[in-house]
Amino acid sequence: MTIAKTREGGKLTLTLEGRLDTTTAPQLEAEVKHLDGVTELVLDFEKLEYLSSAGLRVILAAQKTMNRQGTMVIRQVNETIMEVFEVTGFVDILTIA
Amino acid sequence: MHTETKTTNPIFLENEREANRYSCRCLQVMALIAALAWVLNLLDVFIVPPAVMNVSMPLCIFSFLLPTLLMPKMPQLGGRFQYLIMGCCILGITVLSIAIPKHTVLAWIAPVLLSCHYYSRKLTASALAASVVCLCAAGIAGLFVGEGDPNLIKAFSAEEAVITGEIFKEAVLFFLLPRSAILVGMAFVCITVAKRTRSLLERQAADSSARQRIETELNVATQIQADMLPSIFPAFPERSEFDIYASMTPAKEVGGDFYDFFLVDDDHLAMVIADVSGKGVPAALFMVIAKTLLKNAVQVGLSPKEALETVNNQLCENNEAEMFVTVWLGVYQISTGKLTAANAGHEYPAIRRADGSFALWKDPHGFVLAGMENTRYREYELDIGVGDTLFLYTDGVAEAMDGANTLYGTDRMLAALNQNRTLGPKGLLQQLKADLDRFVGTAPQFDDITMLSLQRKAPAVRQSIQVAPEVACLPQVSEFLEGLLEEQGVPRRVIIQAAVAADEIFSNLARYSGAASAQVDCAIQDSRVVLRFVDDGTPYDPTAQPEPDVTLSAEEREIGGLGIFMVKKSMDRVSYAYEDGKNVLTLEKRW
Repeated sequence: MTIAKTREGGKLTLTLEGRLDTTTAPQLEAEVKHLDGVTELVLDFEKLEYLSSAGLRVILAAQKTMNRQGTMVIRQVNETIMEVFEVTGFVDILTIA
Repeated sequence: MHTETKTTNPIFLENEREANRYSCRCLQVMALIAALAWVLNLLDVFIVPPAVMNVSMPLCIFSFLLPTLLMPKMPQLGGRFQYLIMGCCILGITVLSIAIPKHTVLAWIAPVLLSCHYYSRKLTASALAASVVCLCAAGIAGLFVGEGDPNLIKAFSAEEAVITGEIFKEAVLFFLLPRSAILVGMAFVCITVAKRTRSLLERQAADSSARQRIETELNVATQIQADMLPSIFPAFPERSEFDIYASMTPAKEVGGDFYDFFLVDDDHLAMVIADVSGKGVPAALFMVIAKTLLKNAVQVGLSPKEALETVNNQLCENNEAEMFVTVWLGVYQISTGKLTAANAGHEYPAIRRADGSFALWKDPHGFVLAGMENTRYREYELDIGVGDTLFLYTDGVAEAMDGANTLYGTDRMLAALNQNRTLGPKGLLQQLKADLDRFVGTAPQFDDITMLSLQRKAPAVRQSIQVAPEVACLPQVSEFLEGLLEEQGVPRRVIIQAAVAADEIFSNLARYSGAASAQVDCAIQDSRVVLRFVDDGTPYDPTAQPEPDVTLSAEEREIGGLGIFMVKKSMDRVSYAYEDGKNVLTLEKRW
């Protein structure tokens, strides 16, 4: 998985490509650990193929952080991933645009 | 007659209720006759003093009708109702007998006669005693108030109002005593007749309970027979190279058809379909013997021809009942699809080649089993290709008839089998049975309907990978799985679901099992993929984990358990077993 970062003031956009699973989740985890000064976090999933529960864990942690300091939006979620969000109830926690 | 156990027997309880009803009806008739006599007397046909009649007849009619009026109270009164009937009857006759003594002599037998319906010694004895006492009392009373009995008072003219001691003595001695004696004698005649009807009733009761016992035993026999046929499907869930299904619908309680299939060894499956001559219990008994002998013969390694010849001779010994059985016996080699079979007078099997339709396979027929000693049978070989389907049946299928006695026939059978060429054995049998049921309609089923079908399937693609149970090895597992699934043309969506499932299961296993080694198996067959994760770690059943609450807010959320939950949701089947010191988790997904 590759992660592309774009920072515009308080807005951070992370564009994920590939698979967010047990092997790659630590990469994203490292990125969302340092969200100082970020008030708007955007996760772009357009090129993300799928995610496992390890990915969900990181997304949940990021959401908890952003709940305290701003907003988090997930963009361009594909069908497979949307299904995972629905089954696990994450649709109610996340803001999916 | 008159044993006291009678009250416990339902037949006698029913008899008592019926006797009550009939006795009431008898008394109604007697009341009617009394009323008629009253009317005729009023019309001056009879010459009894009207005063006597006007007092006695209403009383008499009332006592005869009292039991009928009390009928609704019968359940509460129970056994006492019979005594009430006897009492009313005797009272009525007594009144009648005082009023018109000479005409009522015959009526005195009525209470005893009615009491005999009940088969109760006590009731009959009471009725007799009461009748004798009342007969005498009425006779004496009649001397003073009644119409006067010319027999009793022939010694003096009717005008003489004074009854002397001499007349009284004469009346008692020559008339009341003999009448009582005759009544007692008649009572014994009645009792004798009652004894006989009672024994008939008892015999009928015994017969009906014997019939009931036989019926129960027949039901048990049907169950035993059904249990003898292998009936758990899928019969060999671990064998993916073939699929087998069979069914039997018996016509009567127990039938003579049977099917059987069993593994002779790891690579050979034996199949039998047979039809015993005749029906019912004899056919069922013969079926049990034939089935057992055939299975034994095949299991000791005899070929179909040898097995039929051996069993034929065994069945011919002591076959006094002249029964016989038609048998088709085949041994199928699972690895090569080679079928070796022999036919002892049974219907032709039908076969469908992978891309064709069902047709009868006109195999060489031998004589029926148990028909003649030392009969020779011919054996033949048939190659069952991948996707080919074999269908076996008994004459109950081909010879089923509709309401107009038209035979179903093999042409209709083949047409029904060919309706849907994608069906496996189970679907095929169900489709044919449905078509047969439609054809037969409401006509009764004359013969057992038995069917068996075997399909050879494409061998499963099966590969395994041995990996160290470490998270670092996850990419190795994904690569192995995805490579194999893609190569086999599994849909992309299923590949992703399998990959996510493998990620969840393997990462869990690597982190928590403490295993020293792990293995992942993947098998693909018929739009179905089966993944197996085997590790030698501590026993742990992930499927037993409680499901996470997926409705909580982000702050309350725990991530544990979500992985296996996702796997359960995306796979069709997830099962866990601990076998030979290893955790085995099996996932199945169809598309």
